[in-house]
Amino acid sequence: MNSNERRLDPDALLKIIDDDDRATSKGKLRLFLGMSAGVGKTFAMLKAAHQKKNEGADIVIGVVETHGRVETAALVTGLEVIPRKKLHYRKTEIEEMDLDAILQRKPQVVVVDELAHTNGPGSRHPKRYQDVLELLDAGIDVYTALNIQHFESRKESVEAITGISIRESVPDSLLEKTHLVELVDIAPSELLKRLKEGKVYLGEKAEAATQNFFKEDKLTALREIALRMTAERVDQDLQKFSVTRDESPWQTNERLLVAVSHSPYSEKIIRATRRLAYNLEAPWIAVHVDTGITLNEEDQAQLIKNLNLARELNAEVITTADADLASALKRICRQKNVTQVVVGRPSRRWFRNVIEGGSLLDRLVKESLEVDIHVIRQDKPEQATASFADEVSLYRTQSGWMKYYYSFWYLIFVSLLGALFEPLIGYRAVGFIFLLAVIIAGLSGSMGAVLFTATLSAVVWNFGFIPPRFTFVISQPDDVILCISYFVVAIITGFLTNRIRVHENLIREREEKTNVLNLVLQDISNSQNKTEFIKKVTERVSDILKGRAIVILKSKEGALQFDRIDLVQFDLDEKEQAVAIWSFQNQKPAGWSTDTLGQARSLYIPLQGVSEIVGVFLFRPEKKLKKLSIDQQNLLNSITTQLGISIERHFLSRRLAESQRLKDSEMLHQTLLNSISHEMRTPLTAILGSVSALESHSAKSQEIAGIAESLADAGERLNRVIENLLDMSRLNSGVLGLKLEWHDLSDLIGVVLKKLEKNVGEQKMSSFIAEDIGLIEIDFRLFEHALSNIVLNSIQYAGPRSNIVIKAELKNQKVLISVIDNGVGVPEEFVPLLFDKFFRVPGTPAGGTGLGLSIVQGIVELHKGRIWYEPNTPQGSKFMIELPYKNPPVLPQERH
Amino acid sequence: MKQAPRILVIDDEKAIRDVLKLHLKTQKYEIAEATSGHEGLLLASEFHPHLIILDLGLLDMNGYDVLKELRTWTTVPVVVLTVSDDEATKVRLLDAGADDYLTKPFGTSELLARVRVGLRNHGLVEATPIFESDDLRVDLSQRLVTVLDQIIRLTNTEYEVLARLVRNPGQVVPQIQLLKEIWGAGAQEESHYLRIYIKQLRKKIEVNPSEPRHIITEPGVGYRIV
Repeated sequence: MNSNERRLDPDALLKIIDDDDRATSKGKLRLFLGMSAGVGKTFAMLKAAHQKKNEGADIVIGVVETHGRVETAALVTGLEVIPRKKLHYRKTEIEEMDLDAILQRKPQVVVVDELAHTNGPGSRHPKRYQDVLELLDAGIDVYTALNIQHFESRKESVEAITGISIRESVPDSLLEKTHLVELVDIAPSELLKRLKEGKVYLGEKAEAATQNFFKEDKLTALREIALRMTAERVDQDLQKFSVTRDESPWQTNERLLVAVSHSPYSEKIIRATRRLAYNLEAPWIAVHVDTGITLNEEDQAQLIKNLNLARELNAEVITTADADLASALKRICRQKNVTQVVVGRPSRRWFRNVIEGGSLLDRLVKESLEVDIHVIRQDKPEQATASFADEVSLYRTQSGWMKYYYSFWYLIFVSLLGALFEPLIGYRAVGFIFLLAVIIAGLSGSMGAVLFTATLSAVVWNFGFIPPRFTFVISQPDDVILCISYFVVAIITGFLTNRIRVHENLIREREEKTNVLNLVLQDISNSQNKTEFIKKVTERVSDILKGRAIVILKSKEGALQFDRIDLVQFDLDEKEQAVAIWSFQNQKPAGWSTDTLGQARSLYIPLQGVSEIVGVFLFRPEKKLKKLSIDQQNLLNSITTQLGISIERHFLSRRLAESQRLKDSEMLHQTLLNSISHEMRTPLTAILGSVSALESHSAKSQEIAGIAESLADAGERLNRVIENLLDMSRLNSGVLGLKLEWHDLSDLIGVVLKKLEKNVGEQKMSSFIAEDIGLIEIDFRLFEHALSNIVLNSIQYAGPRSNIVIKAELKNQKVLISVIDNGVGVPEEFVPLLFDKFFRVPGTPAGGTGLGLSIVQGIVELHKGRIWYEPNTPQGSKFMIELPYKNPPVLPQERH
Repeated sequence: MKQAPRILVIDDEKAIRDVLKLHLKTQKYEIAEATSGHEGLLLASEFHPHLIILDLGLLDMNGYDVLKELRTWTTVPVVVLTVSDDEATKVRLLDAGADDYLTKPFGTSELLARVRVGLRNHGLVEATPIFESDDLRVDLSQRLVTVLDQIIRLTNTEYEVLARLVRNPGQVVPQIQLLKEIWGAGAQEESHYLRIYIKQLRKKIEVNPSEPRHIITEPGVGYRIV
């Protein structure tokens, strides 16, 4: 849909970077190519799969057809097979490869047989190769098998050789996506032998065709095609390699252009151009010039098919509008530095040649001196020469023959008018009335009707007015010349006035399109907010195209928001949502009027910003509308591109504002922390200092000494509370960055013991550190807080005569630090609540905030460790901290 | 000592000044008070203190600026009072020329110990090449380390680390300084070098290496020897 999708950049380096990129993030495609059925592709593919499995790869079978061949079936065993999905379609049950199951299973490699297979109705993609492309996009390698006749570009040749029409095909561009092509080759005589032995399965219906198909000469021809195709591919690999090495740009500075029309013959020219471009390693452009002719549905479908073919074959597709085909092509040649133009052999449009100064080919040859021109022959004679009728049908409008009917009555009216005036002005002047009528017809009617009117008027004038009247005989010689001149002048003026009109229409249409885009831009820039411009733009689209449009935006979490109120009227069921999600995730349009999930009710176009997808554009057509025209698609593409970028810009500015706010709140937080710590600690220092002075001067009074002691205790407690509050709020705000350094664990435990010395009453504290723990990577201050909190917890709650042991050991490459006491322990029902904020075990002595352990947990988790509680046997508590252990860096050798 | 050591307290909080005065007077020090940074700078030149106690959070000036201003003309020991237990702040203080710091709230004994160390290191006590503390004796002139009169054999690097601590007895030596001086400027981030040598040293000179009495860790800042 997007004409820029596969734009080939001439810069070879970029291409190689792209390729490398593809090699890393996307899956690799390994193609087993055969000249015909029965060469053993599936067999070879499964062999390769087994080999890969033996190398340790995670490989599964997505779909494999064994056709009852025993050797092949034997190879399936030992490989994991993803069960096929059952689809129900009009009472019959169809089995297809389960794409979603494979995507979910996400193996390294998946085996997908019969690449050209057409999926049953209700599948996500109409073709299996599209499933494969999605698997590759998901980073899964694919092994697949294909016969040569299924390549788009080889289809015709094979049909010509074998006389069998081939229905299923895959685009040639797949060949470029393959990482490895393996030709499964077998001598034709060998294949025939296998066929005779009944080793080849050909399907039930194919029996008759077999007689024709499997002849040695035909097989040899097919084999040649297969070999040549593989050789071409090898050649390309070589060239790519040499490009990388020499860092030279494109080997040739060639750039090809092909003009694409709605004719089925265009397909052939497109393929021919692609072959030329492929061999020249040159980029190529497919151009469609809209000359203002209204196409009927069939022609439009053919045109879309032709352009899609070009796109699939990696052409840059350009559509432009111009009444003059040759000048449009010349313009694009200049803009794009085209060196070679490919055209078909021209038809005999004698009347156009006269008027336009030669056929397209003639004009190109005459007027563009700087390009080479290739003329492609036409194989099918019945299509080669366009008759006058064909030419007229080219200009046929959707109302068809009605135009001629009207033209007929129009002419009768003019003739009567002529008859009325003839006695006054003479029969010669009547000719001018007819000429005027032709010009008027040219301004209003279609080209066919104009030519019809011009011709018929000449006949009527001759028959009804030029003497002798009511015969086709003309008596006077000058009247003969007059009549012939009239005919020529009528045709030319009619044609030219019609051209002018068509041209004007085109310009108007182009202006309308630009106008719509301008209006969309205005909608966006004049709106106060995102919601407003989205509403305006979707309403505008709904006005222009027959249907309703809406935007489904992405939420902050990155998923599409289906629960918005304005979506209710679209009644999106699960299936429709799945289509939207697919389009969003795969960054491709899907649903109605596309190749992906085409049975959906709406069209979904991803809204692509500069760096991310911001949502999906939904278009729900009216029931009458079957498909979007190219113009409509282009318009919709331009609008959605604009919309995507604008929405993203709004997202970004909002995010910027949010991050600014966050920064501000962090600043505030930091300021608050600083002022709290200052404001509380400074008076605390004064209090504690005074108390200690009081203690040293209180030798005289026992009472005062007691007061001083409890004051000191209260001050200490207050200080701990402040410390905990600070730690807690820092942990929560995320301001705190870990400052990881290598530290000696025994040093840490030493600092903790020293700090808590004064808190220990009659308890006994000891530490045991295993020798094999060297250094551990921690944030010393934070971890010291954590460990102090746990130990202090034990000191306070274990009881006055308990023993407290800090133990550190290495277990399963993890550091295990345990703080063990033989105190009262924690009642079982409170264990799950231990690490909750503000939780305190009921009945324990006052003095804590209930923040301590929750802070410890926060700090331990910051260190990617975990903490838990275990009861100690026979009594007491065990707090366990587990930290990841890394080998510390090596010390430089000491010089003595 | 012929004269009482003079100590200048620069702090805008009356309560803190009072507490400091209360404790310092018990040691017979002579005390001057300044209630602002500007007054402090003025008094520093008039009062000729042997040691300055400077609060980091002053109303009129940032404590850093006072410190920097002082360091432009005097090497008098400065002990800074701070409320922040953020190690970066402490390291920055030491870098800016502070001799030591005290984190609020601090104990009386801690305060007096820092003041004593500051006065001693500033030459009020004769510098000797010998450091003695309980069982540990380090003789810098002879490169001799003994514990309970037993000679301790140290590797070169171990001795380098110990000597640097001993040259500033009682005072915190920043780990960056140790790393830079011993392993070179490129090793500032390689704190694990230091950890390993401190661990080895403790094994050799401490009675119980996991509860060190001589080499004290100042978390995030450095080490001091006592």
